[in-house]
Amino acid sequence: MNAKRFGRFLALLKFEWGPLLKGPLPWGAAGGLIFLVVPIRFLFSEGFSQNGQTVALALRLNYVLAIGYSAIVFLTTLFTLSLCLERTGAHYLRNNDLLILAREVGRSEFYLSKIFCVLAPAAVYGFAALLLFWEELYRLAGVNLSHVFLLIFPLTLSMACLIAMYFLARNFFGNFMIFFLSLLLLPVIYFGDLWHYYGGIFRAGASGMSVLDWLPQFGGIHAYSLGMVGDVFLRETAWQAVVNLVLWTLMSVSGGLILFRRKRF
Amino acid sequence: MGDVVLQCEGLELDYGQGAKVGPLTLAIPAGSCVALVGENGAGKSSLIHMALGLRIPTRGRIALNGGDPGKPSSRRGVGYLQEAVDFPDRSRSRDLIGLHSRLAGLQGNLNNTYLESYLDGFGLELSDKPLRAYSKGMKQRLGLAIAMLDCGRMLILDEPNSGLDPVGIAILRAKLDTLKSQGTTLLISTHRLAEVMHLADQVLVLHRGKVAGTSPMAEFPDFASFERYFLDRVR
Repeated sequence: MNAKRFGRFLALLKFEWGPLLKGPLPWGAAGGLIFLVVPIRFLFSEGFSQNGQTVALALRLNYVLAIGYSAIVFLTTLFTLSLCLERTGAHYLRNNDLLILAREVGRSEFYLSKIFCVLAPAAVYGFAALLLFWEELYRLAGVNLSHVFLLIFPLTLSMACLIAMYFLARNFFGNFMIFFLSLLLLPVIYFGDLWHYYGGIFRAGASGMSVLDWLPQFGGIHAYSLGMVGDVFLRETAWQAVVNLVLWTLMSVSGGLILFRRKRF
Repeated sequence: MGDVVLQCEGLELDYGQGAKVGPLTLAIPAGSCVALVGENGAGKSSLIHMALGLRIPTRGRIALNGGDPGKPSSRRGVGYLQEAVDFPDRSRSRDLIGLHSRLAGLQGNLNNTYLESYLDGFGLELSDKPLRAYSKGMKQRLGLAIAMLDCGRMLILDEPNSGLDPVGIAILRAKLDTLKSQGTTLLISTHRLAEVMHLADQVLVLHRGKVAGTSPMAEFPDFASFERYFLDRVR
């Protein structure tokens, strides 16, 4: 991308971010962080016990990591999908988008700017949630778990894959509702992955996944992330989920670019 | 194709289930003003979209400024106002003018004094008011301002009068007269025949996706004869 094209790409990002940041979504997302704080505070409270016994800090920390990081993933995913919907609503490829595409703007610049204008705020939000998570752990339990910040990498990769797939599907399915309903498959895949990695705790020999292995492993990268911060969550094969999501992201972005270049409005 | 800004040869666009535009063969010379008229659904907007690379023709060939309209460089210096223009609710006129100036490579024009004066020419203010507070006519004026930011080679307007009050129409008329005198090629799609009669050099009538007639505007001594010509071709 030469300097001129990059300048146009930045202009598009600046324009897209302006209305986005002025809207209610960032405020709602900030308010949503209460769903991260409340469980942490409950788990660190004196009243948290099992079978009448106060649970030791190390064990509590495992609960906090699992529940806290899951809350971060849930909130960031929700924020990301809301941003995606906002950026590709009824106005998508109509009105101002057509005026932009009628200018000296390449399809690739336009498509990638749409993706980045969602990805960047999502990553910033994810980082803010991690910062809050670290701060709560430090303040409530005196645990300086600085390596939770490393989780921004798998979290951003996960969001990048989600956004890339969203835009691919949004441009592939002409009918918005069909596209939207297809998103409902994601939680099924997610929990399938989590069952694959952690199902053995509840049921000996959790099922192997021949089909799910090939689908985007959003749940797998969740397991990989937890393994980065807690040994109890470590799974030897979870790195495969990272490779899987990198490949899905690259395929989705490439597929989306090819489709968008040929798309008829 | 040196003096031709827009050229189509056997251009077709299939919508499926029998609906299609074309085949269209036409050429718009540089510096001319062409009125594109036709009934609703005649294919005017589709032709414009193909001319700007927004739609890909099913068959045939179209060239804008001598190149493929799908290539960004072919659209350099081409301004466009679409039909029923609308903008993101929370954007401001400043944001939109800023964006389109940057996209057109006119960053030098982004100072407030210039922008205020530019928008004033369209009866608009450079305000921080969100565009959801704008009326349809004000949005149309803003759309025209955006289209005319960078239209040295060609200006394509799809229903430019839509929603404009008499003052807005007078502003539009004056701007188009100026652009025409400067040698900008104009392609104006409209249902208001009277509005283009004084301006256009050529009329192009589309009917059911095909060229039903084309004539120099000078051949019509009065509006009645122009209207009759149009009605004869679409009935």
